[in-house]
Amino acid sequence: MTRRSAPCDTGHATRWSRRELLRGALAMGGAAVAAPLTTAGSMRRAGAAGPPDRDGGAVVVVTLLGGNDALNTVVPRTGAARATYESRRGALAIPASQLVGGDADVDGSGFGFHGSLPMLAARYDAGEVAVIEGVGSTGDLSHFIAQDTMMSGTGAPSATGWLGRAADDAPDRHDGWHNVAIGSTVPLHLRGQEVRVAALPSVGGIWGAERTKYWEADAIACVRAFADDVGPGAAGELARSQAMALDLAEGFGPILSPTPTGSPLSRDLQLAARVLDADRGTRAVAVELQGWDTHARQAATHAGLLRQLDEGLAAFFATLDASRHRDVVVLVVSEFGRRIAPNGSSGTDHGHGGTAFLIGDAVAGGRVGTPPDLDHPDEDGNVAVTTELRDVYRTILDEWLGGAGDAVGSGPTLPLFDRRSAVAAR
Amino acid sequence: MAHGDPARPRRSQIMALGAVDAAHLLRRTGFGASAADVDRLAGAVDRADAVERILATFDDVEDAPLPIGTGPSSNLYGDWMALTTWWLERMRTTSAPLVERMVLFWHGHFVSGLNKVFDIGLLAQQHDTLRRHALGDYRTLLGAVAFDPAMLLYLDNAFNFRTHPQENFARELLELFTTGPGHYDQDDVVALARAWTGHSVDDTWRRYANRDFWHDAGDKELFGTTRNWDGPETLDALLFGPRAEATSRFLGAKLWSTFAYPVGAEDPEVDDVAAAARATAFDLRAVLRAILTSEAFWSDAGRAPRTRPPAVWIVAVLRATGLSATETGAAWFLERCGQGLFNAADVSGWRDQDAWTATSTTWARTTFANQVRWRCWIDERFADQEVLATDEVLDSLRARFGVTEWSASTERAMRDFVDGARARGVGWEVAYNLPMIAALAPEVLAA
Repeated sequence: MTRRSAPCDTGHATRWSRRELLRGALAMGGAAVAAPLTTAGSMRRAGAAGPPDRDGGAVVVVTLLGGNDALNTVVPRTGAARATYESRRGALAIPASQLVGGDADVDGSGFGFHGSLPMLAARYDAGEVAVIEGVGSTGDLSHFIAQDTMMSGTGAPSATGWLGRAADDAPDRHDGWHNVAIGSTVPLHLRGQEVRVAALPSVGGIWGAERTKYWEADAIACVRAFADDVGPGAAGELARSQAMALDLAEGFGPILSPTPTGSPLSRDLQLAARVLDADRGTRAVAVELQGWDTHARQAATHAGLLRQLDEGLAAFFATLDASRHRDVVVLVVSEFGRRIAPNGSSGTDHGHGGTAFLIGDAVAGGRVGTPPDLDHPDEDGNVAVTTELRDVYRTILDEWLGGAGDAVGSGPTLPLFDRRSAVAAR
Repeated sequence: MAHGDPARPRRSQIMALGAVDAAHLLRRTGFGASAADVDRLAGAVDRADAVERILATFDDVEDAPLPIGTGPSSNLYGDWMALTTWWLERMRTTSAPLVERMVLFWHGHFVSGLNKVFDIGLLAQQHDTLRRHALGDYRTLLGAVAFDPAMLLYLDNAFNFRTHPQENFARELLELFTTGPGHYDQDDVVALARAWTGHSVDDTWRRYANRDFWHDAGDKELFGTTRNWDGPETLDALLFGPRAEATSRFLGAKLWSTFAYPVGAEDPEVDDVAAAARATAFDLRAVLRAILTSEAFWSDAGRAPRTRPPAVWIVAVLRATGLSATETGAAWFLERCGQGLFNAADVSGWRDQDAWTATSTTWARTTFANQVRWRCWIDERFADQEVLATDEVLDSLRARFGVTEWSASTERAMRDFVDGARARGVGWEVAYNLPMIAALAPEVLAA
């Protein structure tokens, strides 16, 4: 794994010096230096700070459904990489003048963000965004299989997801607050065998929050009682989930009011922030945005989606209480990247390697993984998959959520977190 | 039980279908089983006869003129709600519920979503196409959908041309509309995409147009044969050629899973259904007949309650209460439930049944039930309950909501509610709360 160190300007050099040192040590492949940084136990032995307690960190997972075109999200800015990008991408190439932020050219590694991502670019500039490259799927190019595989964290489709399995052992796994989805379904990320997951609607009220009037209390009691001794099967499932929903309605009701405004993703992320601010032990929130499968007429659609993403992220951090900024991180993922060359409809078809983002005060900013090498695509002509999303998950589970055993199996972790901020979170 | 209880067959009907079987068939092929509907069907000679009567309703179904035009709309959201409300009203008032269940099935099978097409007029046009061929033969339906402008835009085949083939439609044609996964590889997808080049829309984007000069007239190898494959021919190959078995099993399994219980394409229940499809050139009535007359459909497994998709549940509640989709704003709640018609979240339709137990869907259902409660109160639709004894209350609710029998836990909860309210001198809330409570009973949520 290589990692480039390229601060935007020398003014940041002193603040970055500790990070540079760590990155430099890792880049030299110094196993003796790298190893202690990835296990909490040896970190404590070394006198360095450990990860936040289990009562600390939370993660918000934003899934871009359809396969985000990473090549036009994180774009080569200069040098040979830029030339190859322009020639292969043709009319879909983003002009360098329209890029924002990113890294200046150091050995041809300069990049910029798509112009619709000013907030993300500013956070990257502040050292709070990890750009994780070469993540995706090489298997079946079907969305559903790739999405399930991405969200399961096991390397294959599964009935449970990484954050669901991690929550299955939590003492509060039944109360409906540990893992929360915003939307009308629970994404696989959050589903486990034991953990109960609420899916919060971003628009519309919830009946059942009001119980002071006796006729409401009586109706609620009756509907709740349908779940007593009801059998297995569909009817039982529905009765039980209905009872749980009524119990949760009391707690979640106030979160929905006033109704958030803005784009769908912005509304969902505002709710995600309110859930975390309610401080009810939430460790994982999942939000989704459809529409990234840009097979045709990509330019305007993609720009609009990225704008919605940027505004949504900004709304999230603006809504989130200041005291929680140090122990919340946002992970942005998509099931695969897209093909290097455009198709005949001014769009792109499904590809392999893409890019994920981890955003937050505690994140060690910079590029992680291998930037797309357009001169050396994989055997199908796609950007190669060089980084396992599972390693990202493992890092978050072990170093941010306080360790979760075998939720994604054993393996390496990535230097995604800034140890200094992790100390402050405790 | 009281005399004349529909759950106990009358002596004169011992040699006929009977009320319990009639209710099962009506619930599975429609939106509920009112006492009147059950009575009518219970007199059928046997199961096969009852199934024929249900299948025959397609022939007499009333005309369904669309409520909005198929041209460009100046009010996308308003027209979308109007179209959805109109369809919910069709489902509620039709004399042929099976037709509406089949249109709903095709609607989730051949998805074209407003979130990508952005044209409600085109979706209305596609809806009409699905309706016309809902119970015909699958080859005709599939051909009509492949040339439908909304589908050409939704799966991008309108922009599939020789110099740069577009794989979206070809992939979903295989994965979702015909063989299902596991019966093709990436080379087949590429060849199929090339075969479908040129089948596009005209300059208005509102009508099919065959753009010859976009067509890749070269040879393609598909399913073992190399020649200049062209779009419609590939449909023949998929249904009648080398992939006939796979397609008959995939479609058969999907229909079985909708009307009976979930199965995979390789499961034995699908054998006869798939055979019927292949023997009749995919005549849809023959396929349904094979499902609805099979032993398994009438077995305990076949009768075990299935979660009602939100659209079906909402219509069942409207039928039971006499309220309309219009006055309850049902279209808006349906969207909140996660089943916005004409706007499925992705091309696979509403494949995830677990979604219907999600908290936000549950909350949308309870909030809709609250709306139903309010409107029933204003119209005094359940006022008659106030003078009935508790036993009669439960019986009358059963009859109205098309439930054969309340389970022990449901009955106990309802009894406690009614008796408790009356004992405390607030019997008025019985008529007020009953429609909501019944709508949210497990026997109405799953049928």
